[in-house]
Amino acid sequence: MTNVSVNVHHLTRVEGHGNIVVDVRNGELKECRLDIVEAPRFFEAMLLGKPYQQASHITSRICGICAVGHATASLRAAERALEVELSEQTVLLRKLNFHGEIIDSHVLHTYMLVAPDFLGVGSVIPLAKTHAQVVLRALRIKKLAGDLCAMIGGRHTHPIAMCVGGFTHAPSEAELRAMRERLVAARSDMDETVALFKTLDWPQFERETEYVSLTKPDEYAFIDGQIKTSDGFLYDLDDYRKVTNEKVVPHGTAKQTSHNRESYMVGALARFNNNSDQLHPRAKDAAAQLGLEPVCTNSFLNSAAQVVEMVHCVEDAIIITDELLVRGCKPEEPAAVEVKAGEGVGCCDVPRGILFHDYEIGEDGLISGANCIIPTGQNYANMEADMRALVPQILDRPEPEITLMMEMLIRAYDPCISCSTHFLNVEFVR
Amino acid sequence: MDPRTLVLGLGSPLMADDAAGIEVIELLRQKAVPPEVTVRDGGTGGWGLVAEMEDYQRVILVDSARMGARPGDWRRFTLEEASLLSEDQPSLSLHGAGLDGALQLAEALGVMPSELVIYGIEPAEVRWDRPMSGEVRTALPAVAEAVLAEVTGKATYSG
Repeated sequence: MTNVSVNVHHLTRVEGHGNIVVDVRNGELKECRLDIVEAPRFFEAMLLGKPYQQASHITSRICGICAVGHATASLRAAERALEVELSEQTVLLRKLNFHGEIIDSHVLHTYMLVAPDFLGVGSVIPLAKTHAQVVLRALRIKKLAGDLCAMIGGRHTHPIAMCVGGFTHAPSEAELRAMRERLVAARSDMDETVALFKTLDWPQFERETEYVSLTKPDEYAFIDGQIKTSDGFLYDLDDYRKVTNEKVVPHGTAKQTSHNRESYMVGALARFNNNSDQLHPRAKDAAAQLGLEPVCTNSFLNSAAQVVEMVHCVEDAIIITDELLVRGCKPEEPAAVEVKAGEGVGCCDVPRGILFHDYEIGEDGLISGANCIIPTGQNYANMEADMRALVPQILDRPEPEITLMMEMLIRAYDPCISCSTHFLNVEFVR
Repeated sequence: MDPRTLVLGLGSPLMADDAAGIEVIELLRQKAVPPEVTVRDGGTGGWGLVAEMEDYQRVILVDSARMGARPGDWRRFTLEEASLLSEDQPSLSLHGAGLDGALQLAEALGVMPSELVIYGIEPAEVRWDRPMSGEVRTALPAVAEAVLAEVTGKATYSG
């Protein structure tokens, strides 16, 4: 009988922060779990007692990958609590900024983490040697996305110009024109990206689940709207707890969520499955080339859906830039805020999926309650359900292959584990 | 040759002494830095640092670093003088990408700046929701002065 033991322990180099554990005895699955630690519970505590104006700057530091997403969700929470109305220009700039981050995160994930598995190299470092042009293209797209975010957010990586009610800075007409040209030029890189990813041999794996994302009547939603599930449910943002139903599991310190089934999935594939009709025609064409059709139940194809979203975001960024150029984009004062007690839910569909920030603000303008639910927390149960479904299908394969498949599955979700440390470890050469 | 210099501070202001790099950037912003020098708070940029460094001939990184020294001790070094301890192993998440990975990638692609210098500051503690330690905070002005002396040409180093 088969005995397989897989224990992958390298999500980060910090012990206990990301283990895949699979234990099969005599052909029977004894244990199959993912241990993760997520940090937002620390942020909830960090926000308490802070002025509402600081919340977006604090939460944008949660990580360097979803900085705009956290900042936007945080601002929407405060703005909804304080009933702040945004100008048309602010809404457009927020969307444009957000597209920059979606492209930024997706290009890193698909090229740096996913592609190496398929191109037969262990990681992006050897990929840079064997396929330098591929990695250089990824960095070119990444740079465009980063510059787009910096043009609006005032700084690379962690935005500084975003504030409650609007922005403290607006891009100039010249900057918008230059950015538009670069976005148009990026179409060829997008075509090359689709051409590369359609050659990849995606693992065959199907498991039905529920897909949860934002939705809006008139656009492919990333900011605001309503919560839609592929099982036919639609909720207002204030009712997000009806979807998330968080519970603590014994292993790992992240909470798990479930709605209509044992688990649900959030992220690019969920958005694609729920809202693909609203994609830009070029993105729909990319989906067709990648063989992606709703409802797609292969979690590995989350990465393909990310490629589709990159194409969409480049095109929609061109459209928004044109709109800003036609209507004019001028420095404007952020919307006036009248400080009062209130509660607000901010919701964005960030690169890894739907994100909730829920704040209570006191009469003094200080945050008296905060609840943040990140995408990875919501995908946690679904990742484990996928693992339990996949392992029995591949048990006859050699252990290293099983390990690789499990890693590829988890990588497809690109879990946020923001407690990974960033400082250097140095040994001096003597 | 593009003479531009980038001074990039790295770290998270939410993780105690990990903020050292970006606090040095804040100090440098209050000083007379030559116009051809860009001073930037790079946060926790991960792989993206490769794209950020690309346009510069000289890059000076300021980061907290475990060097086996006393908390608050700092050191200037080049990659020839030190090995950044990392393993080239595939991560399950982009969140695993740090400066060491980004530098390896830049090296593999042949896009390393021609001059790369690191100022490492030994942390006492790196964890969420803790203030910076007194040892590290006390060290920051001297690090900022040293970086300033280097970019204004008032200090020269061989190697």
